[in-house]
Amino acid sequence: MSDLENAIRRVQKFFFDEEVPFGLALCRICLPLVLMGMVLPRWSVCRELYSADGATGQLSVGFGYIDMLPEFSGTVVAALYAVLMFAMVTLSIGFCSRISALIVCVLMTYFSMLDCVSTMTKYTAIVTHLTFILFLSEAGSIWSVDAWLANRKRNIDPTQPRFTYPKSAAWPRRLMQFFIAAVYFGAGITKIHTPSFFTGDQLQYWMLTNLNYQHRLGELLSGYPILLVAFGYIVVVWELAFVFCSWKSSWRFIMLPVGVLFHFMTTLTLGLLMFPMVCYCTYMSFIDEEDIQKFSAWVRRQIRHFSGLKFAYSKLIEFRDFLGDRPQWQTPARLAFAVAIPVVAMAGIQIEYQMDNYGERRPEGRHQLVAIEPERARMMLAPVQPQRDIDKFFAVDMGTFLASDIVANRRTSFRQGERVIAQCSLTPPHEDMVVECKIRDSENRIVEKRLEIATREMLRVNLRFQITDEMRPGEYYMNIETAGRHVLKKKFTVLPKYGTVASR
Amino acid sequence: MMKRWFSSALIGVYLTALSAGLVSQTMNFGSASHPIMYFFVWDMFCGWSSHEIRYHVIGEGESGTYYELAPGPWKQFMPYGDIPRSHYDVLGNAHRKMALVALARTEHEPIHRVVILEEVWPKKYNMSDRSWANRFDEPKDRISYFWQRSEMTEDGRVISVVPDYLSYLQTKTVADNPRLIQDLNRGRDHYVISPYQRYTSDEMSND
Repeated sequence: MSDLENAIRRVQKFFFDEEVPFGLALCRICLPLVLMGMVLPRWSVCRELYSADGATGQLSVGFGYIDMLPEFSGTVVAALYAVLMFAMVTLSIGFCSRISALIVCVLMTYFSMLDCVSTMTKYTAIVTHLTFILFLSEAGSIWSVDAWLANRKRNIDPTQPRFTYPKSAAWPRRLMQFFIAAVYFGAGITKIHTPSFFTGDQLQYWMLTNLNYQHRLGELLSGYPILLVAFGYIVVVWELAFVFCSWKSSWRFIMLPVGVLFHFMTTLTLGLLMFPMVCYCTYMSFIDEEDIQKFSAWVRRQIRHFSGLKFAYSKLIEFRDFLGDRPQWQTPARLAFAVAIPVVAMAGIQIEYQMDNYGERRPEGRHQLVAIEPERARMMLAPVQPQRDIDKFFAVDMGTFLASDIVANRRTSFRQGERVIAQCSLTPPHEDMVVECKIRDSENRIVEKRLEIATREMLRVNLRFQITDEMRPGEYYMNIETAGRHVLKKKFTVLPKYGTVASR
Repeated sequence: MMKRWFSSALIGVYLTALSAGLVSQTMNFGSASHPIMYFFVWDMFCGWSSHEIRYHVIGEGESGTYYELAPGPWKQFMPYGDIPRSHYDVLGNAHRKMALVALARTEHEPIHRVVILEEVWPKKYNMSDRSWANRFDEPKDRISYFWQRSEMTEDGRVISVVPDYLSYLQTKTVADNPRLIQDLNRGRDHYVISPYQRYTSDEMSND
């Protein structure tokens, strides 16, 4: 067999090997549950977000296509949104899985594209891909209502599961794996395109934003840009390597846990909630038959060890026997699904009407506009005031050495003889500036002076000076000035030189 | 066999689309050419700035009183925490509609004009007092810069629009160079009739 034929055979095996779609079934179950966290809060405001009666913000506008998608009335949107939520539930329980996945894919994409302000994000784009792949796959053939209603083949071997799990080609799972690898690769490329990512500045500003959910750890870490630089490099390497190393090999047991940790840290440091969970759902596609067999064996061992688990397991078996096998219900169930959709839509319209988002049917009448305090209105409408010098500077830090152009050992006490670096971090955009550093002793006498030019593209400027023997031990102040105007002040202490009597 | 061919074609098309998105992003070519590119270009968090921005949509009533139009006076929707939706409209796609919805669905005196403003402050002021005290020796003294982005009539007709505050600052840093400004005004050709005017006057004469 030639190398080419061998390669073709391997590719075919890679994509078309028959397997039980455990991973995709897990993804099918988990993804809609995760998405509920995003979809449910938007239900009560769907008229405002997605209808012609509200304030949509179509994604297409940013690409130069004005109002590309049709906008329906609030009533139609309420109906469609209710159908979306219904389809998410049916997708999760695996009832008419394929059509449910298609409904979720189309409606989720439609609603996201109508509202780029508060719905469309990269994770909703990921959801579009995932639901499309679930639609193509046989994810509903196991652990689902569809499987319960299907004519399943019984296993005679008592050591095997009661029913033989149906097998299907691996390619939908492979597409999902390729997809998440492409997402990471693209994210890595974006970071390479963004120089301020590798200086730690961009991460620092991400961690200080209030636009996401609470992230106290982020605020804490923003004070240590050197750590952010190190983590930034690790993340980029991991993102670019994911496509090569996440396949079934020993590397997979490094790449996937690192991914789980990385996304968990984005929750703690950046306040992202949905994005990590959606990514975790895609990780399900890396679970194959062998993993499930190993996991099942482990669970069986635990059941044998713990009587409580044994009892729960026996109850579960009883429940399964009670449910039995109902292939005769398959056709009526599909009919019920078809009937349920208009019923759910009508119910959605009615509930949304009762919720009265704009308060137009309130007994006390329509809402009144809220007046703004005259003083605040004056302040808001006054001509913009010139930017203060302090707002062009982020902070001033002191230390003795740089790593990745960042003060690596931030300190406020130095010994005589040490060479100090005072680093002024600047807030872009700023103009070309003269940055002057004046060291004053406790009696306000200038003992040292340094001057640097910060051009507009610079994010930090370093002023170096020596703590000479003439600077006697004690408290000192470093004043940062620009064009003779005070900007920042930093207090530091000079300690006696090592080896002197005073240093003991 | 047919199913196998169909599956192979689908795999090929899908992987090609993913690769095209990556190439487009890497080479910075056509990545914003169509809304569909949003689904194939993975440029997460590429545009974060050093400033925190909030958006205000206000209307001036006949009496001179100013009213908040976004968020509307009904239940506020906060998509990602505790900040209303209007503050996430970075491109300003929905502010106009938000104002019109608020005016159409509420009781109010006649409104003469609608103003969209940015409120901007450096992100360093988002630090908690504790973190601030750890890093700075001087007290936190935050001020907001208010920047009038656009103005509309009450029926949504746009009267004026200017770039955002950060673009203004960026431009100002360049315009701060007197030599550059002098060069800008030096050696410029003057048309008696500019090509544009010639074109429009031709059109007019044809009419």
